[in-house]
Amino acid sequence: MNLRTKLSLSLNALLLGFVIWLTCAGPRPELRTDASHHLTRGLRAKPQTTPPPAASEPLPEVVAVSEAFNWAQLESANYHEYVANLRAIGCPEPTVRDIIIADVNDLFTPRVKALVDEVNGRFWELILQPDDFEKMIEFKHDQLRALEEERDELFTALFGESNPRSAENILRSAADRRAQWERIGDFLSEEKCARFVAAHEELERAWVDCSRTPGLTGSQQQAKCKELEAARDQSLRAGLTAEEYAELQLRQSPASSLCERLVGLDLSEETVRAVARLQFANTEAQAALPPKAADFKSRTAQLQQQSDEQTRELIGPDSFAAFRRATDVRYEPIYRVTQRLELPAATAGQVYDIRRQAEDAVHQVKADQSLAAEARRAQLQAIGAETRQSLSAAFGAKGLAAYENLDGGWMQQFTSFK
Amino acid sequence: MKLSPTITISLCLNLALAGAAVHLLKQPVSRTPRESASTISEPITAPAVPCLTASNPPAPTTFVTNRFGWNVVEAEDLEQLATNLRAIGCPEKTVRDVVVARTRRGLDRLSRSAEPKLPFWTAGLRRAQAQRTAEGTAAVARAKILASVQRALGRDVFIEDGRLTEDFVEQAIVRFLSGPLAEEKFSQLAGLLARHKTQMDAVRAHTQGVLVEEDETALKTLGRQFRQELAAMLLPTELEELSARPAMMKLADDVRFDATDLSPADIREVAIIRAQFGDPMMGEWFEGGRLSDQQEAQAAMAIREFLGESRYAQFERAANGAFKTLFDLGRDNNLPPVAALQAFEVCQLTAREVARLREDNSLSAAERQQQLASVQTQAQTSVLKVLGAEACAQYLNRGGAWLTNANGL
Repeated sequence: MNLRTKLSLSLNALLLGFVIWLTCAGPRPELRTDASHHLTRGLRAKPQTTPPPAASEPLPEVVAVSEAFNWAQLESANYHEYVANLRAIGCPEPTVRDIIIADVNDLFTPRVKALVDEVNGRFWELILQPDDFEKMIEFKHDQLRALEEERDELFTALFGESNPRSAENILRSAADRRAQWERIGDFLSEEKCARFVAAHEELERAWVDCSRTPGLTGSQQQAKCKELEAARDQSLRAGLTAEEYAELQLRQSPASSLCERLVGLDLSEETVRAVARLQFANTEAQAALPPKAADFKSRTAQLQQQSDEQTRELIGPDSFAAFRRATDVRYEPIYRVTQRLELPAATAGQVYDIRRQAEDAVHQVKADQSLAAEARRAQLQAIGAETRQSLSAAFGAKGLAAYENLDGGWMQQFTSFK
Repeated sequence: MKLSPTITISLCLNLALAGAAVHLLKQPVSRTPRESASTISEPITAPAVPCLTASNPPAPTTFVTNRFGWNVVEAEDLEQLATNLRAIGCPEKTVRDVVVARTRRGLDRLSRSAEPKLPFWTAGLRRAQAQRTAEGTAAVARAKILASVQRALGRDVFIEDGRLTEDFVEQAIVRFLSGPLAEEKFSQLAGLLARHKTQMDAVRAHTQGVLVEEDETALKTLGRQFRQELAAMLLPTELEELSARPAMMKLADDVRFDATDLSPADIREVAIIRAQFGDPMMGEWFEGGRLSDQQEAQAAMAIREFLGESRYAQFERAANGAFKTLFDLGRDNNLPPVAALQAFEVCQLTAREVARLREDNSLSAAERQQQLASVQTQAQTSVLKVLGAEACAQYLNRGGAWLTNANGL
């Protein structure tokens, strides 16, 4: 074999080895990354300009630059850069803020620890010196507040606000309020409902503007707010029928909370609305009474009685008794216990009656001046024992224990009487 | 020149191999599945160099890069999001921050949307039924979210974890009540506390505010588990300190320890004893736990045994409301500590004497009244002597009304 053949065969071997290496090893990503990373960064950093048209346009050359992305490319010791990098890759703004908030908070953790470490070993000594303890707490509180202010300043520098979540919170509560207004106006046509909601949002904005107006006193602000509200009402009234406007007023009044207070009662929507209207009218009538009038109390009671009678007439005597019970604050915890323990529906009413009867009996005993202290105590204890027995029979031992835990305070009047 | 067949074949092979090598070198880079997924072929034109007057300008170069975009990692599913973030080298801490923040947001949305869509005037049973259904649906969704978080971050991460780092004051309080701990242990403790709270809240959530025996048992079991985990995590001395400090916070509200001769070591021991009878970590940790009447009695007996009769008497007195009033009054008026002590003794003696007179059936009503008046006068004289005129006048408006009405004792 001559020299040329030997050389050629050696080249064969070398080339074969090179081809195999290229096939198996593939390209080296780290080199690629570095190169393209610098290139891409460089390109990003420079402003993009459109090249002027050339006399004869040569075919554009396309160079594919591939870059394996790593999070480390985003991170920076400089928060401004870190935020900019996150935004540059299209990271959603709430997520940018989540990441930075957590990072900044972590940055402050060792400083909080250091503040506590200064006094951590003195805990037991300070317990014996309450004044020093209090002073230390105040001092540390101030230091911690200063740290929080420092953090808030950093947030302000990064996001333009000391609480980076405030924009999100504002949007959220605005959406909540909108949903609330939409619910109130859900009986209106779509267009009218939208106008109603818009009027409320407009009013809220106007209130905010008013509160930010410099130089207005508190009473001036109040007057302005009332003026704005009146204008809103006038504009609303103009676009609605009288019935629609009245319904809106009713739904925005405290009487509408009746829907949430009718515990365990089954009344139709129409009936609930009618009762709410009676209550609303009663409240309006009571509000119109001069509060300093001598007969204010009696006239208020009279109005209340009228309202009750109208309600009884509206829903019938049986339902009215259930209605009174359902709106009594003493009934709600009883009802909850029966629901939790899946007791029969009648149990709640039964227990409620036991409580009312017991309280009436206690009231009578306490009012009886002819009784000696010992006799009074004995009678109260007897009522207490009997009540407990009745409650246990109705609720069962488990139910009674749960009820006592939840709302059993009233039972102490059987034993704590002096 | 005539070539031998061997060299001819060899040369042809060389050409073929060279061709293959060039081809392989020119071939576009192969991408891992993740890389190809992350590719956003966004052309970026190279900054143009101002073109002078070249008659033969260079071809404009367009670099097509795989510039990374967040949408590559974005995922509704928290587990997927975490996986995607990890795949691009996102540190575990940041993965956790992102996932936890999103979870909180999701849970918040869920709780705000849990209100059922009902006609406005729906009330009573129908409303309650709809609410129960909506709450049930929300609970399922909530459980699903939390399970997803656990899969994404592991079971030891809880959505409440981060709150402690956000609120510096709360963090400081927890640190102070935990006692000196290495930072790693403190982080673990914060995680445990968060998990314990989440679990307790979960038990309470389905009770509608009505705790029955099973709920109490479930809460106690959680408390025991929590304590076991703490014991496994901390040294015995660390656990002792962690139990004693919250227990002391409850005691320190009730007892004026500065009115006793107890040392810091003594009161630490008292707190440790108290912690043994209840579990300060069972309920609200900062409140130091509540003891039942029976537990209170047992704890008192053990504390008495530790302190001995004389010092226990001091301890008891320092917890007495009437004494605390007198002690504060004495301090406000710069009186010696003994003044409060003596005035309190007068108060106690008077109370005993009044009780004796009340029980004495041999006395007529007039005689009893006369003797009570005499006791009251003596008490007034003694207290006035001990406290002085100014402090005594203040005392009448600060719990000392009994001086003018001993019957009230």
